Amino acid sequence: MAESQDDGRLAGRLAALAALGFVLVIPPLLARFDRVDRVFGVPVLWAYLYLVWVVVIGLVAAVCARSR
Amino acid sequence: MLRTEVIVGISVAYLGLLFGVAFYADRRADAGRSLINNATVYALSLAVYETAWALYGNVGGAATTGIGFLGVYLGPTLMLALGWLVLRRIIRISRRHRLTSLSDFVSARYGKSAVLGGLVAVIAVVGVVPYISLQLKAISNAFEILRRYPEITTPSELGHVPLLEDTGLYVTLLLAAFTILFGARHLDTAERHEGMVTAVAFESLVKLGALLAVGVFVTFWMFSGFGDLFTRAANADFTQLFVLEGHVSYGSWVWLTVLSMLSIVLLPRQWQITIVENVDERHLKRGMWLFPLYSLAITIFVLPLAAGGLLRLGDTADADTYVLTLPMAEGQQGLALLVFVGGLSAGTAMITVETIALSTMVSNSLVMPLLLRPMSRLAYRADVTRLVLGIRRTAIVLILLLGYAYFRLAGEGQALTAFGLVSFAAVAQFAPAILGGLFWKGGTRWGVLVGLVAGFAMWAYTLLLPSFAEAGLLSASFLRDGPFGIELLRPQQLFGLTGMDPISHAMFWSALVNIGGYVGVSLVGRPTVAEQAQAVQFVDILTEPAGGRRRQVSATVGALQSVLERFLGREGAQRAVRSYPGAGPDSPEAKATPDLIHHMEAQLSGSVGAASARLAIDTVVGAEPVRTDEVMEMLGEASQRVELIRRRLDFLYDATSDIGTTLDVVQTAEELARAAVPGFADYVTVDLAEPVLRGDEPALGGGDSRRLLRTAVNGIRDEVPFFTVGEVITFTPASPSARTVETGQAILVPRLRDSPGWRTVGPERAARILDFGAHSLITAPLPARGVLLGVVNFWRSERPEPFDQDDLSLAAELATHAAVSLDNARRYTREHGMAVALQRSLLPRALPEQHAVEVAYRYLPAQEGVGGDWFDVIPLPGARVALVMGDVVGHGLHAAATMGRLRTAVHNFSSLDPPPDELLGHLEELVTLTDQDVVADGDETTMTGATCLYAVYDSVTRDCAIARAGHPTPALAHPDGTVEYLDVPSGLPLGIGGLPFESAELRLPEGSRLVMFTDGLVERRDQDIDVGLEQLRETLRGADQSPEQICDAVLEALLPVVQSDDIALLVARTRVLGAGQVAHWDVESDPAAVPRVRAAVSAQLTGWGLAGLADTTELILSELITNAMRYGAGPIKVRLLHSRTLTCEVYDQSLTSPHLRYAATMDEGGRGLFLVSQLAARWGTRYTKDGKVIWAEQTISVPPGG
Repeated sequence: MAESQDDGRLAGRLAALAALGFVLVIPPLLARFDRVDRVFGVPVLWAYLYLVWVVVIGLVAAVCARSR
Repeated sequence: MLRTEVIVGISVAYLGLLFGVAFYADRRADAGRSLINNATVYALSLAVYETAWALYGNVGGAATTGIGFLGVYLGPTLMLALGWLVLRRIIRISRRHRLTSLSDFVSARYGKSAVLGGLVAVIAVVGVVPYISLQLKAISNAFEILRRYPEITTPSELGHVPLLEDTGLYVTLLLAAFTILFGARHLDTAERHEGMVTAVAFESLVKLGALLAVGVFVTFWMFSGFGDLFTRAANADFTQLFVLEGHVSYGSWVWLTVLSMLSIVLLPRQWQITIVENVDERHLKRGMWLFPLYSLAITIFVLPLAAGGLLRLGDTADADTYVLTLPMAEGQQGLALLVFVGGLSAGTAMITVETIALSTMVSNSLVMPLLLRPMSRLAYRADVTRLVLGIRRTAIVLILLLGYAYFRLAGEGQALTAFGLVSFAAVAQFAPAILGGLFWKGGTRWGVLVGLVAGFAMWAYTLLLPSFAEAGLLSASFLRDGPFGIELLRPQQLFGLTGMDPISHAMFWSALVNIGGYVGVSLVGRPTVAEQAQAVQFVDILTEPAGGRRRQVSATVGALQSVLERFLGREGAQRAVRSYPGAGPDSPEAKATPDLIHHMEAQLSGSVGAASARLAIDTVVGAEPVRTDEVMEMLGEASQRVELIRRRLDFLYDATSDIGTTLDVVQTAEELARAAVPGFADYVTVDLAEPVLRGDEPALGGGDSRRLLRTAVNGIRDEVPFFTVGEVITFTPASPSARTVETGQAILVPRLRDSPGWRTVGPERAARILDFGAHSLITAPLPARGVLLGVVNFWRSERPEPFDQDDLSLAAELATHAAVSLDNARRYTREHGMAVALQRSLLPRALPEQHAVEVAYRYLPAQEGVGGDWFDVIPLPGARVALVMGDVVGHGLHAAATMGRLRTAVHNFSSLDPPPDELLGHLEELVTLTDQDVVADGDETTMTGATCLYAVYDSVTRDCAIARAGHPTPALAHPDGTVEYLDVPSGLPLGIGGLPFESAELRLPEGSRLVMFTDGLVERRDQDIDVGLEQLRETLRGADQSPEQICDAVLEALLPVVQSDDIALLVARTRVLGAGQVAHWDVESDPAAVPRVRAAVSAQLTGWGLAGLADTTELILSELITNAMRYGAGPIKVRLLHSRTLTCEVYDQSLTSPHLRYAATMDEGGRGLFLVSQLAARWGTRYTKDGKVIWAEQTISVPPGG
């Protein structure tokens, strides 16, 4: 069974998402949000990391759903 | 409420529930209704990642380092996003090679090395034991704290208890029993544990529920939401909850993320769940987002809980126990118990799966290879199943006891988080070998060995030993001053590398030596042939089709089966043999095929590991010295190549047998286009020279003949940008087609984008083709007998790999085969066309005008070629008509030519107007004479055997005379609807000789339908001729139909599906010339009678409105009557027929025939007939039974009724 073009494309898109996620959660971008502040009553860093996380999960789910 | 007995009772009940879930799932699986064949269950089972650490330790970690713990969950999210790239490969490889553990995978990847497998197993056990002890510690601590309710204790206050009073010991033993029940009850070749996976998925929900419950309780019950909680935390100056800086170094944050990325794959329990227990790789798609979502949910309250714990309890409780102690402090016993059950659940799942995975590794990669060495007598033991199970169970108990020992010795006082990281770092050592092995073919066994040993040693020195030191097992000076006071060797500042936190430091060094060793040693050495072979199998897993290397060894099926029985038990062995997809072996004595041996080895490898399986199989197929083995591997390499060639030949064979099933040019071209899709190309277009389609010789390439007709297009999609069928393509000199025509060679355009030549045919279309995705092209000629018929183009668009040189020769080969079929079809088209044209030209185009009968006819050539059927309608004088039907033996040109000759002969004879029997006699004579000549010339194609039917119908008298020579008798449908087959003497076919022919005379009522046909209509190979005749009779029966309708009805009813003989059908409906159109007179043999007749005739003609013809008619009649009186005999009769023509007939009883003379000037007589021939359009004589008739026809401008 040869690798279909769809599978290859899916793997590529997801890998790009992983790279994006990785860049977002490490310094220097992370350091921009690493300060003793609160936004909507919660720590900025906490809010930032969970936001990134939710976005990445959503994008992965969307990419997977589209490939079907 | 929270008495010890209650807690123990609930714990045991919960474990019982888990076991019940597992038991139910196993039962369902046995019944074929698997619960784990479900993407959601798969995603939830991945949550075995969340251990008791997640429940207790994260909050503890967050209390000191805030959000720093989160990297452990972000990493897996990122890694799973890479799942389609990485995990899918591992899953597919493991499935195909039946690799049931991580150590098996590494061993198999690097040439099925037993040493590597053992090493991986050891590292995994050593690396993961601290992690297991962490779970034991978490469970037993939680138990101890909970049972002291309402008092809140810290773990350090629990102190050191004697061994037999230690809860941890009992927890350990309980879990060991539980694990054995779950995972080592029996042996399974796939090493799948459906029940265990289902239980893990179930308990994932329990621990999530527990943590969410306590999170909501603390955040919204004890405090008023997130805002309140964090405001208070900020006021209390707990800055660690808000920022990383100053609490966690960025370096360790990044390392934590990277380590957890690797751990989600490389931890033995994750490998077991993600890879081994995976049922369908598509489940990954849901796991990729559902598991991260789960992680998000389970961590969302960690920071608030830490804040709540710090605010409410502060130092009165250990931060690692906040999750438990917060509800306890609030008096929420039920919630505390739920948290305890959640922790128990998480710890149990982790320990069960982890120890099962480790025990598989230990038994398959460590113990079995040692026991199965060729020297060992064990390989010949009768039943190894129990032994394998025994090893597994012992390994489970030992690993758990090891974990407990670590907990007893080093575990006191350590923070939970630190423990887990040590294990993460240990399994990360496998990453270069596994991930490198997936994508790089150059890695060698020695590279992995060196890298792994070095990386592991570095891990132990920089991470494990310091953890011992911190636990007080080693002196603190070991850390501070280095071993023996050598400062350069300080474990946490190795070689003077300072300024890094311990994790970053350890990971830097171990990654350096591990990757360096792996890559460096691999590059210095060369992979052995076995390693190369495995590398190809692993790296190209997504492109290479299934099928491993064959082993060139021999053994009987029985011997193989007995080996399997020893390891799998009788039933297991039978299952394994049954699962072989190929043809099953006939008997135990039969020689096992290499395929079967491979299959057996793969089955066995599932239970005892790849290396052990090979050793075990070797005991029966004959263990060979290593060098021979290498030779075998080389043969394997060669046989792979042979295999590739064989596949191509198979393809060519299949493709060519699909081409040329018909003798139709277009269909053959379409077959060619179909044959290569999708096996070879994604699209195929066939272009032929225009003359080829007509069956003519093509003249391609010469001068300006650069036109090709697109004849066939086929591909994996219907919407294509190529020229469509029927378009004429004028190719340019630079196009591949032109080069193919010029050179006669197939042309390869591997990358269309880089090649300008093919675009010159049509730049716009070329752009569309490129946009469509087509990227590679082969144009191959279609040569036959030195002539080019056209070209065929093979395109690739979906398949990513371009065509290569091998493909080029394959394409050329296929095209050559197809060209032969195309040429055959072309020649057949030409010859068939010629024969059909000949026959069409010999058959009547349109029937002559006549009024005696109304006719309709059909002629249907046979499917396999033209035949020799013919029919004819010949007008005869005197308002009569001759109907002819004949059939020449055989098919083809010869039959058609013979038919033509016979038809002409019948035509000629009919002009003499003999009775039917006489005409057939003449024909018989002709055939006999001709055949004598033909045979004398040595030709064997004679006319003999032809049949003929000849009928003459007189529309005045309604008489019909019929004679036949071997031909089927005609059917007669009476006007009243009855049908009969006329009783006409059969006669013999022409050329046979013998009896003279006889005519049958009958009188037909007006409107009778005479149906004449050839045997092709009623004769079938598969049925009696009487059946056909009866069918015909049925069809003809009934209402009055016109000849056309009858023809249609008959063909509809009788036309066979496969028409093997040609069919001729002639239907004639008789007419009668009415009394008003006939006049006759008897004339006495007296010249005085002539004027009287003339007067009567003149009056009759005036009555018919033909007064204009009266003079000539009178003249003709008087001449003929005078002649009859002078030369003839007996009574004379005169008849006038007013039909299509005006016919004058004079009867007498003499048989002397008049002949035309040219009278000399002085001759008295001899002018009569000359005058008649001048005045009449036609004239002639015919003989009747009692004399002769001399007739003359004059054309009339207005026929009666017209």
